Amino acid sequence: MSDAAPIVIVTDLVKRFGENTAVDGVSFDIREGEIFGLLGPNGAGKTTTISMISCLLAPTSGTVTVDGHSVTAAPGKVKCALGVVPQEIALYPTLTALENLKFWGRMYGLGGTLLDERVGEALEIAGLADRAKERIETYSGGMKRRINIAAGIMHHPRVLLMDEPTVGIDPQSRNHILQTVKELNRRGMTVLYTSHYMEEVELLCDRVGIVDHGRLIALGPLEELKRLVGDENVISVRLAALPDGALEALRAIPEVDSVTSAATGDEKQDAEATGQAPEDEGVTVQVLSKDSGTVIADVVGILGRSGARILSVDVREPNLESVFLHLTGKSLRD
Amino acid sequence: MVTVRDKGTIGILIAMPMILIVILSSALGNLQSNLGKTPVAIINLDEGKVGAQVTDGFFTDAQLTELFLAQRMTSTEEARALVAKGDLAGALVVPSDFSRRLNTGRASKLTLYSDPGRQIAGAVFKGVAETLSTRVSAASIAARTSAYYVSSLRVGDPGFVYGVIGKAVQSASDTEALSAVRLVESTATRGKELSMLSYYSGGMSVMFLMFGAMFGAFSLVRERDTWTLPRMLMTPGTKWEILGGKMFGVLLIGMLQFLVLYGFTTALGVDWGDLVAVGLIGFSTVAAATGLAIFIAAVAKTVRAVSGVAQTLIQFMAAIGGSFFPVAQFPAWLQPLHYASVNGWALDGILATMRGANAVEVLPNVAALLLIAAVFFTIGAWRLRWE
Repeated sequence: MSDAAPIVIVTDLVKRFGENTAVDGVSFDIREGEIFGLLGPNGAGKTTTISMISCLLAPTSGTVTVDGHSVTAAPGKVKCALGVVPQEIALYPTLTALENLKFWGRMYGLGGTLLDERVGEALEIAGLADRAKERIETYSGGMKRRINIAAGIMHHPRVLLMDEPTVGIDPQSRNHILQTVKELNRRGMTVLYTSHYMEEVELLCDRVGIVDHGRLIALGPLEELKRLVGDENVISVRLAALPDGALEALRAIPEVDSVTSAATGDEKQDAEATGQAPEDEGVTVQVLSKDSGTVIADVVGILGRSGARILSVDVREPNLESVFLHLTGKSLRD
Repeated sequence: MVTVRDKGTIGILIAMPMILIVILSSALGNLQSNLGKTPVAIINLDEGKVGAQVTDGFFTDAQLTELFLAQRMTSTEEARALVAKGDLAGALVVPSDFSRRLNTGRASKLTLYSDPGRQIAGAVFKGVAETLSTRVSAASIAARTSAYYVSSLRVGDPGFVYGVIGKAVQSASDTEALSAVRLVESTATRGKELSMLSYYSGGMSVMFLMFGAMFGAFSLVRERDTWTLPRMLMTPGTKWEILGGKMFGVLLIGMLQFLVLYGFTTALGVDWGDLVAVGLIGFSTVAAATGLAIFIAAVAKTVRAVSGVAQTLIQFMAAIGGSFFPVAQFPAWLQPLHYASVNGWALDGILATMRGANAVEVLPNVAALLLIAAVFFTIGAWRLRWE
């Protein structure tokens, strides 16, 4: 796969909306047959990047080619090669799943028996063949997202763009979707997968680009990205509440490289993604340090003296979260 | 498919105009006026001949029999009760001493009872009665004048004088004398007069075609918000193809709506006229409304804004275009404004076809509506935000 030719090439891509620069000179390529992840917090520019690749938005500057065709010069050919699964559930709620899939299949030029075959195939992949004649509005969120994916693959695209396809759904549906992505890739589909969930990207992707404030701040295979943080481990401390001044006190520890905090509810979805037991509400403090063995005692001591009620302590090896933390000084969910 | 499954929308687009057509035409024109005959009672109690000569016209005069369905009655109270009940539009009573008083040079009177609930028919009946009383007055004056001059002649034979006066009175009382000055009514427009039912069939149909097209505007904005419209743009279709396809759906629903209303009103007795002309007007009206829908979708950012803009625009156009009241009732300075609306051009064309115009004669209206469609579609498509 590392030797495969690029099928999507993005060069110095820029998108401005008035004074706001949503995408600021992003460059990357996606090799045929790989699952490429675009990881970043909300507002980083992931959706805008996908919108430009899919010809929905015109770039302010820069170029994008898909399967050798420019998005500005030959958008029709680009769209034929692409399948898109938008972050929104872009389906007609008063139509059945079957009717929706037929509609979107026709929009890609399918018809007749081929359309019927592809609809059947898509419903099997979505695991909803037995509920095809029910209206979308009767579906759960997870089921809607599965049909949302099915609508994007009807025409067997060469490249599938998936924009945060697991937002706000139950663990079972999320697992189903992640397995579906793997299956589609196994069948030869190249996938561009965007998410702000680190665990999903780590599970699926061959290479990852990390974006923040419209810029690509890191790019490469997972192991290569993890080496950016060296031997830094993440000490995760879950607290009932965060006392005032606690973060400043932790940052003052000499061996600590960075400290962030986030509401534990944001962590819940990550845990669910990897099948871990969901945690209760509270605050999670993450401390990045190369000397986690020594620092952990200081961290626990400072938090205890500040009056915090510690619920759990966890030490993790470098992951994409720590990479992001190392590069930006904040967590993916800040 | 999404719109057709929305039962509430279909109810508004089909049932509401039907209800309004029936209510408005009943309230302002009486469904029976479609037949062109207003029921009235004639009570001639006159002991002489003049009363009959006044009232016989309701049963023999071609113009009056076309306007009125007259019945003779003998009881004033009974006739008055029927008018009060609404079964009759009016009753005309000739008193028993009508001829006697006129022949002796005294004033007499005709009594008219009319139903205030039938303002138009009542006004017509009153006008006819006034005309008849004026003619009788003129005949009476002629008879008295001739009697005066004859009697002033120093003629020795009294029988000759009375005979001349009698002949003068007789001739003044003859139907032909009464008809010496006839009131000829003519209309400024060519073709037949239209009932209120016909008028409101056209007016309400045009207004609700506009409402139907506005659902197309809702649909565009809603699809933009739910991302089905941006998703469409990510498929191989171009913007123009996608927009054209969506608007074709709106056009199709509009034509179906028009067909249903045409069928319903035809069943009530409305004659829309030349089918080709009606079809052209209907199609071009729906096209104009569809173009307007895209324009509104481009201008209004949210579904709520579309609702506000659409309601205001449609009701304004309906008001100045004549959908609520005939344009002829507007002040002179306001009347030309009806051409600033889709309703004005459409209703003009429809009323023309109802009066007998053919397809060629309504081409100016069709052209104006298609021009409106093209202009609004172009501006709307250019300005429409897709995501």
